[in-house]
Amino acid sequence: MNSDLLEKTVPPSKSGPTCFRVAIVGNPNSGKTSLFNALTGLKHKIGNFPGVTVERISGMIASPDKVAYELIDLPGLYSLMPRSLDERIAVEVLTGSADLEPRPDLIIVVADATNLQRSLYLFTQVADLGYPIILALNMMDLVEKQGYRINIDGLARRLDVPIVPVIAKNKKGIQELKQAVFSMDHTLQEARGTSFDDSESLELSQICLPLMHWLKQHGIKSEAGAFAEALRIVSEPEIAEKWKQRGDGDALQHLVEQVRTKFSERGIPYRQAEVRYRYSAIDQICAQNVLQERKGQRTDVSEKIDSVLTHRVFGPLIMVLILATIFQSIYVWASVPMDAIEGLIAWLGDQATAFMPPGALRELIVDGVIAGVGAVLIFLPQIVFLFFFLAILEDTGYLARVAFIMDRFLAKVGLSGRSVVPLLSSFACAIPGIMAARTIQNNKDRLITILVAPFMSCSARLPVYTLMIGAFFPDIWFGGIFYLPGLILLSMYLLGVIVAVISATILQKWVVQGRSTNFIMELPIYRAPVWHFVFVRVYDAARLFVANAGKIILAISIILWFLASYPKKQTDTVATTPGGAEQVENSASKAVGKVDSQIRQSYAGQLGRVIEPVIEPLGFDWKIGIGLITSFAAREVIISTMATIYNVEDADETSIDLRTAIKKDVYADTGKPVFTPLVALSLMVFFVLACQCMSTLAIVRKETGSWKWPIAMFVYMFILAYVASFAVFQVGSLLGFA
Amino acid sequence: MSTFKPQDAQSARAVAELTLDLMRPGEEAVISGYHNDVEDEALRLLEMGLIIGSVVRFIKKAPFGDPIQIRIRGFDLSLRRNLARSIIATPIR
Repeated sequence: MNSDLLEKTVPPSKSGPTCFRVAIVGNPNSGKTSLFNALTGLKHKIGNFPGVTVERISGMIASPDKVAYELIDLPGLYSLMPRSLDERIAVEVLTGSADLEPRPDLIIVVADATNLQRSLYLFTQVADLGYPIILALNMMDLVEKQGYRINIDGLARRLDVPIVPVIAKNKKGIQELKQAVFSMDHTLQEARGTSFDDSESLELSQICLPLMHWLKQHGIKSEAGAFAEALRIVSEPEIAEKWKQRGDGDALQHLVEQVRTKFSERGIPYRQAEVRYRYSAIDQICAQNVLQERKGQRTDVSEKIDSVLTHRVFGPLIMVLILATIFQSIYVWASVPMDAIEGLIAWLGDQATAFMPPGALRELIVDGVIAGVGAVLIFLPQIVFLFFFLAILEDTGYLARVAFIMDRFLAKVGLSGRSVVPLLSSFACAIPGIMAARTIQNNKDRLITILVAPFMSCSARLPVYTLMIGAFFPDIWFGGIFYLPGLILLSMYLLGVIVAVISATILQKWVVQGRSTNFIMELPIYRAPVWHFVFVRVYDAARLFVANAGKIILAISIILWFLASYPKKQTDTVATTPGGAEQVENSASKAVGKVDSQIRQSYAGQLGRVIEPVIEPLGFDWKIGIGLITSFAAREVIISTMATIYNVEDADETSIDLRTAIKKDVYADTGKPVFTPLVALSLMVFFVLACQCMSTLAIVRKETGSWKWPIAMFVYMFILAYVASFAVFQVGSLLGFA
Repeated sequence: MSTFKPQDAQSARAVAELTLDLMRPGEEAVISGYHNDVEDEALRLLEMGLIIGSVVRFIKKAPFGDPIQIRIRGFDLSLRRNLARSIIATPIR
């Protein structure tokens, strides 16, 4: 944990001696990421820290004399005592205790100037690690509005670091900050650390002297570093443990206990020692350097907005209204670009068909690559819209209020308000939802949220619901208010939510180990969103979605295409291309006759017939079976698969032809229809519950760091889906709905 | 601001004390102690500045009664009542 304190020399950085590495550190909501964006623009790179799932966001800037600086945006921190995975990584990078990264050469601590005391808490901790530091005081405009004046020169002298006032959202002070970074590298002077001289600090350091002496014998050089580390050891048993492993453990334990006893004699619980010491010094610093000139209005405005938005009655109502509007518009607005993308993909397929010689390669490109990847890219607009709204909700501060309102309910299933965003996002797509779970501090909560997120009906299920409801449930109005197709659709969404609630309860009681969470969350003041930063976040999300989905779907599409296309039927060369341009029969009845051609004897068809006995009790035939198998790549693939199977031209997802085809399809032996409303219902229930999404499983693997959870998730969701569909079909049949 | 001396804590206890969850909207109080030993979750509250001697203002309860919203050192924080119950404060006036 403390190798940084042992070795004061800066290790050579990975990217060569000419590239300096600058870590950006700050509280959540301090505008740290805005500042990072303002410094680097769009030129940033999103990756992971090696071996962990925490995002590593970095960007390069260069000084006028061509010295390169890599800026690293570390996850937000309140202190160097980490609680969440994100925080732990940030702390480990700073303390140099993991092999994640070489130690940074320079730190920019971003402080929300309106929350100076809390920001300085983190600052003093980082300063004691012995880094060269630049303090960026953000949101200086709000300080003025609030009626405060900060004596920047005085503060800089007191803390012994350069201070640059900035307003990240307006990019004010950014040039000055860059200049400070560029002029810093030549000196690489370490911040002095918190050599506080108030009486209480002196008193505490007196008590700690023997322990500080021990630490200095064991490698820590500076007085401030030894004092800070002494307090950490006394406060946190875990840290004491790490020092003990270096030998001489008994002596250390003795010293620690001695200090703790002396603290207790003075009425200071030892775990509070560090916090109290730092705040006593910070309070003194702020008293000397922050002046309240007049009464401000900042919090008043926020409080007025809150009096409506978190009002006992209006608050929840407005929340439901806002969220409903957002999800509605995700569907409505996104449909325009989605149609455009669909058209583009169809056009690409046509072009490839026209310009490539017929053969296996063309089929692979057209039916495998373009159709498969295209089926997923269609959902890009929904991802973009979702992240656009989420970014606005978060930047304005409203999302924290949603968590504030909803926490009560999530507490009942063992989660907290922090799970609201991941779960809501999962209604669009579980992938961004699961990614959003990174913000949950408690690991147990995070895991449970990830595991139940796929029960939220995502946008990929919607085409399946629409097809089935449109084909088998008539437009009936009950009492002029309730509309049957709408009710069925709503009940599918509700089914997912109810199962998620039950699963979360079971998971947190019996399955997932770990301590349950509490809920401590800052409610930031309301702010207007900064469009530039909203754009950056949407752009990043879209880029990640395309990259993540692209790789997996591409591979799966190729495999599925192969399974559906081979072995080739020898006798009928015209009908060998599933869904290919050669098929001109449009009539649904003719199409049904074609089902026995290529697809039936392909590997996929054979597989469908093998599993038919298993899915028969759910009401499904072998053709639906193939759809189920292929839909494990991605749910919406069942539509294109069935379109392929029924040889319907231009397999449009809402195509009347597919709808007619499945309505007319009959079992060859009995002449009974394959699809009935009950079968459709059974199929929809299966889709609500089963985890038919390779991308989700891949992202869960990535986020949880092992195959254990994605496999467990796949199995339990599949069993649930099977049992539920079985129950629906069998009970329905008994009641005579078959 | 912060006091380390035990006699201060004792004199504070003589005034009517309550826990944060029992405060009324708009009410202000000075934090005077903690129930139980401060465990991890509450330690985060300390790091955010809820130390003995800090002034805390109760803003409101969430629409469904839990969590609560408090103001400390110029920013607003929400925490659940069960955690608020472990923080002792002396109302101002």
